[in-house]
Amino acid sequence: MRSPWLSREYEKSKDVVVQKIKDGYLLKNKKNNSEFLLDEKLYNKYQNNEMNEIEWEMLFLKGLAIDKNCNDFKLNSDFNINNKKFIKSNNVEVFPLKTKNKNYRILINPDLGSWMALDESEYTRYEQNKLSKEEWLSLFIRGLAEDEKHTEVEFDFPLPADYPSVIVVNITTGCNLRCKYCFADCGPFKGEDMTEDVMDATIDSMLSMPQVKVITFEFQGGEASTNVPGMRKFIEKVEKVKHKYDKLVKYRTEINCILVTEDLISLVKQYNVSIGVSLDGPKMMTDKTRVDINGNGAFDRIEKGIKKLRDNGIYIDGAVCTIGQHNVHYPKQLMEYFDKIGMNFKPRPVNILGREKENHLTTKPGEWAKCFKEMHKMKDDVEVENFSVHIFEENVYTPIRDYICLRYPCGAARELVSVNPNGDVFPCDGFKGEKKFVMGNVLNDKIENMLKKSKIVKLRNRTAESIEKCSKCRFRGMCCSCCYSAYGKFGDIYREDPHCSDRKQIYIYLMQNWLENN
Amino acid sequence: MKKIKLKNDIVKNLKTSVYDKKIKISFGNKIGLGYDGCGTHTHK
Repeated sequence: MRSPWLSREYEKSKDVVVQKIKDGYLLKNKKNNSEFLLDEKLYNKYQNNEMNEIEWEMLFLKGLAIDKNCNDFKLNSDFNINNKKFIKSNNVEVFPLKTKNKNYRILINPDLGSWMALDESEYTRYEQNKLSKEEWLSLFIRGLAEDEKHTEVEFDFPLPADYPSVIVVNITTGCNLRCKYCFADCGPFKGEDMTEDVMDATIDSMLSMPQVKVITFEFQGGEASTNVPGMRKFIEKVEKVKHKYDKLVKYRTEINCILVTEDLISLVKQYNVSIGVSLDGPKMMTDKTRVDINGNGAFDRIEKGIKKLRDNGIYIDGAVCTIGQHNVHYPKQLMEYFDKIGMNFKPRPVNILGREKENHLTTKPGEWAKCFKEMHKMKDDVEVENFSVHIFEENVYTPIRDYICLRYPCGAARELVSVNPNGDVFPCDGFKGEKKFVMGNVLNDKIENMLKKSKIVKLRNRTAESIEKCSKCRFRGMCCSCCYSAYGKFGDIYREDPHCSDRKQIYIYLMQNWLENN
Repeated sequence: MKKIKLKNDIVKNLKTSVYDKKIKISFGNKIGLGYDGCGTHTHK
């Protein structure tokens, strides 16, 4: 049995003594008297630290091994595995999975996203209810089996937030580019800057938000760097009043790096503003989509802007790399490019809103998965972090759902809201060009109150069960349909993600990859 | 450059208690407890 889910780094416990007996080797904890008999083969693996994570786990849950990274383990003396009666769970689905060398059956809990790989003989024993109690326990703690005596398993992991900690401040609708896939349909033909009354109301609304200890103001647009005076004005207003609230305030901005002025540099340095950039790879790729009003590629200007920021000692957090027909077939070149320029990046397919609806640049079925797999294979050959690799691995290999766009319910109107220059508030920055999704206006209402409106409550509780295709999907516990992308593609947020089939391929690939390499 | 490398199949700080009526596994790491930006996902 193999699974990375709940996997830890184990080591032998100093409290354990080994006694050779007739049937094998008895491991005994001197302090709590727990014991476990290992046969010759398993004992040799134990001696040589060659046991896999599930074999270690059997010892760990009896207090016979320790977790290197966490010594907070409590084993109560009333726990006796022999008194348990484990049975199969109706919630579990089974599917076959082939790796290079072995055939497995995957047991998956679709709600949790937990899974275990059983080889053919293990699966036969599972089918015949002939697993050992310890093997059942490993299934049980992952929600992959039940206990007739109703032992409870509680996972205490971070839950989706109730109040936003990040607000995307669209400081202007103006932009100095006219990217072909812009979901907000921005460009030089727009140019509404945020007014001071909207700034004041936004700041008050966010800083008075209950429960939230850290507030991040993230400047976007349009193109935020075309309104640096607006950003400065906003930040100065926050700095002036923040002492009245018990909050830690952070600033960040996503820019296209075309207009890196002295004014921007000074603002970023003065207020420690984190920076992300939009960049689709090397010149031949970026120039195909990130263009100005005359259709001229922006790569050279972006590169110059990045250099200027770095020359001034400013660190760039990373790049959002939009994946579409202009770069999806070049995963190797993308990895090499971002490694060469030393910039972490997050590749993700074009979302189907705004100008993308006319230009059809997003990936076709199978293309994103293929691109992802190629990038994943190179992940250890580069110094930079590919955030998408990290995000997907995290969802498949662990119970953590840290990325708010790949978790039900998603972060829209939970971790995140977005405000336009006129004060209109949206549940997610992806909706900022869609009037239909306005939650309210900061000039008339507090964001906290907007969150309680019935249509927003419904959106905040958008789970897999509320989407027909997702509700039947075995991968729903590790996935989420992007609400604005689903809206863009189908005109309905209660639909599957437009890249659903690619997602499934990625999940299966990551399972195979882990089993082949661990 | 600032290097971020996280090993994804090991979750650190998994607190575990095993009782007859309840087995509890909780996660004490700060990752997952906060969200600090919508653009580049930096996992700070």
